Parts: sequence; C-alpha cells; structure tokens
Amino acid sequence: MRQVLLQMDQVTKRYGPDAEVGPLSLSLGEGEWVVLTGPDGAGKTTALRLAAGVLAPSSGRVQRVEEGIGYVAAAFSLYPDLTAEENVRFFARAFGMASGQARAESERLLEWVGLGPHSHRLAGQLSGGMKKKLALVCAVVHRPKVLLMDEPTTGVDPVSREAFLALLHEFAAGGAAVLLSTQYMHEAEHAGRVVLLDRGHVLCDAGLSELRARYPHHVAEISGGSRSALLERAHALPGMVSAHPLGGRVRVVLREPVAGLEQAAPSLEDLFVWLAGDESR
Amino acid sequence: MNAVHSQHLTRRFGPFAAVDAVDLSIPAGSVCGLLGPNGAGKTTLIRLLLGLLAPSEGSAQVLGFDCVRDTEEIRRRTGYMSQRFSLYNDLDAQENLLFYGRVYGLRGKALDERVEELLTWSDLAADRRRLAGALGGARRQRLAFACAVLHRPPLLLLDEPTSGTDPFARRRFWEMIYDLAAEETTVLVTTHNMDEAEQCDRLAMLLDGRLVAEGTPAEIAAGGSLEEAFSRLARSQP
Repeated sequence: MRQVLLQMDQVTKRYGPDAEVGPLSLSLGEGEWVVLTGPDGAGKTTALRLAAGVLAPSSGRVQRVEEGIGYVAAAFSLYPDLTAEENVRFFARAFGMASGQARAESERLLEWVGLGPHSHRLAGQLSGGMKKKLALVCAVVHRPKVLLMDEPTTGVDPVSREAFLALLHEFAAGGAAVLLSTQYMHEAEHAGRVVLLDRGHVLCDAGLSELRARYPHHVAEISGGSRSALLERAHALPGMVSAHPLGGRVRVVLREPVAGLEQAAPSLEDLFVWLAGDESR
Repeated sequence: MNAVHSQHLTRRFGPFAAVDAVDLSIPAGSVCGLLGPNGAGKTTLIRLLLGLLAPSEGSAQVLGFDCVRDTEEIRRRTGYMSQRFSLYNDLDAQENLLFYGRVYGLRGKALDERVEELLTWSDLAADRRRLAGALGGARRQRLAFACAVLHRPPLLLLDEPTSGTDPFARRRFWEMIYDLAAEETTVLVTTHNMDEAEQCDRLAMLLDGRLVAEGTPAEIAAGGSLEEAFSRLARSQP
C-alpha cells in the first residue's frame, strides 16, 4: 500500500456569503502525479493554497506528511535582487541545508533545468520562462515529499517545458507526489490522474484512460475547403453536438459515428468541455 | 499574395545574430503561429517587421511596404495585442474602446458605431460599464483584442494571447481570430502553447535566430504530436 502524503477531507474555504470553494476531498500518494484543471474561477488556486497550508480552511481537515511541502505560486515570488543561484541557496539554507550541500545542490539543479549559464543573473531580470524554472528549483531544493504548483508552465517554451516535465518525472519516481494546476490540456497527458474542478467542486477525479472510456461522444475531423464551408458541413451532420475550427480543419463532436468521416481520439480538451458542460459560459 | 515576405532578414547585436537569414512568407488572410524557445529571436523578428529595428542584412515587405522605408505605413495598418493586455484598468470597457478609437483617429458617429459593433462582437455589451480592472481574465482578453482591431488593421500581431485562460475562453477567442481571418486579416501569433499552435493555419519555428521549420501543423507534426516534433527539432540543432 502506497503511503498517503497529502489528504484533504471535506475542506472548504468561504470568501463571503455566496463565495465558497469546496467541500474538497483529495488524496495524493507516493509517486503520484496529478493534474488539477478547470474553468477560470473554478477554485484551482484556492485548492492548492489550502493543500499547501498557506490558506487556512473554513472547515474540514488537511493532513500532510512532515517531510515538507514545496509550493510554487502562480505569481513570481522570488527575490528579484538576488541572483538565480543566490535565490536557490537562500531557500536551501532556510530549509536547514548545510552550506556546502546547498551550494552543490543549487549548482546541480540550475544546470539540470538549463539555467546554468544564467545562474549569476539577477532573478528579476530573467525571462518569464526562466523565472518559472527558477521557482521550481527553489521549491524542490529541500527535497519535499509533496510538490504543489500553480500553473507552473504558463509562458514556458516547449523545449524548457520538456526539461521541466522530466524533472517532475524524476521527482515523482523518487517517491514524491506532484500536484499541479494547468490550463493546457496537453500537460495532463503526463499525469496519472486528472482532477477537474468546477465552481468550487470536484467534478471528476480519475485516470485519463478511464475518462476516455467514459466519454460518450464521437469525434471526427473534416478538412478541405474554407473554414466557413467546413463549419456549415459540420452543422449539417446528423447528431452533431458541437463543431469548432482547429487550424485548417474542423473538429466535430457527434452523438453517433458518421460513416466516411475520419475518426479522431477525444482530446483532453474535448473531455474537459464535456465534463464542465455548458459551452455557452 | 503574401502579407509578410522576408529575404535573408538578419539582425546582429555585436557578433550575435538574433535573427539570422530568415526567409519567411505568410500568405494574406492566414493565421500563422511563430514558435521558438525564449531567446530564439521571435521578438526581434517582430520588431524588424514593424520597422522598430533596422535589419543588418536582408529585407522584408509587410503588406507590400518596405520595413525600412515605409515604417509609418506598416504601423498604421498593424494591430498589436500584448500579453499584458495594456488596458486602462480604471476606465470601463466602453471607455477603453473609445480611448483607443480616438488614438487611431476615429471620431463622432464612425467611432460610436465601431465601438458598438466591437462590444457586440466580443460579447461585452452587457459589461460595457464595468471597469477593465474588474473584468475576469477571459473578458479582459476579449476587450484587449477588440482594442487591437479597432482600426481594422490588415495585419494583427498577438503575443501569447491565451496564456492562462481556460479551454472555453480559448475556443471563444479563436472564433474571433477566425472571424478576422475570414475577412482577409493576416494574424501572426507567438505562442509556447501547443494547444494554441494547433489552431494556426501555418507554423514557423525559430531556433537561435534561424527559421528551422515552416508548414501546416499537420506537416510539422508528421504523424506525431507537435510537442514531440519541436523537441526533436530543438535537439537536432548544434
């Protein structure tokens, strides 16, 4: 049985008479990688802050392992007038690491995420993507058992993102748990589980293959011709649920498969739209 | 007809070539995604095309105008939406549109009609009296987009337009982009996000200042995922 590293039971946070997130229940075990997603305003940031303990719940209970939590907020929250390397060493020392080890670890981690050549630049002068990577390094330098990250890859380029995700894989493989929020459906492909929040509630908490199996619709793609012609064709198809352009193609969601159309696997975005419902929001 | 056409476009800063011999063509009325890691030269390329920087070598025509000689002509015909949105938070939605409209030289009835048309198009008519600073992410984004297209520019530059918005907002936003493309507006989008790159008609990828891939998303993905294709390209460079 895997050790549970983080357990949230019926946790709520009230912001006012009509604004409440929760009740949320969520558990994270050793080696797990979970993606938290949901529409704008669903409560993702609140959920992460409750999990990290930077926000006190109005009710319910959060239990965490004692070895510590690494938390990366969505906003840049490092010291802009320290260098990249000084920031990492500061956090290492703050978590009680010996000076020599702090130096070695900061060098290793900065190299690993590709910030080696920039380690002596001021953190405030790094590009957006570099800041995100530096924040990750600062959050994991003390080797926490649970890593919580709020949209860590927004603004990170695909090449850096690969290094970033590889680091998370290594982290999870070492027995730690990763919970990150994202709006990018491609990222959820790396996760074992997807937790979808909507209006403060958990809409689903399941593995990707399970979600795909539950998807009731069929997806097809049509191409050839102008976007408006393709959309017109899509809307005339029997059992059409929705249609939207994707580059030169149009993606159609159908109740039943239509013969002669190229079938496509439902993307995470299709799953998201289905689960969160209401296309008109 | 190409909206953007560059030949051997190069910009050096000292010995460093930020943009290195780029031959890029973007057909008019298409949505083109500009991709590349941080520091690959995307911003320098855009600054060259807008005439904000002079090329060290090579040349470019934008909407048929030369990017060194005719910079005023190009800028007048270009809309730009930055990642930061550049809205006035203490003006309401309608006031932001009116302000930008006057900056672009619209006056009187023409201005009022254009603002009304854009409020409807961007689903903001009901929010017209709300301060831009009090609008949620998706509405702010649509307002910034409406401000960028007030003067009906034939070329539109979008810098990571849907960074951090949810799939519902993203789909709605892309419908607006496709509306413009259908009216022959050329749209150049810089993005790090493969969900967004897939929405483009064509993609161009920059690495170390050089154009290393160009084509439709399907051509570049070559049967796999776009993300894999880009990682492969990035690794294959010296």
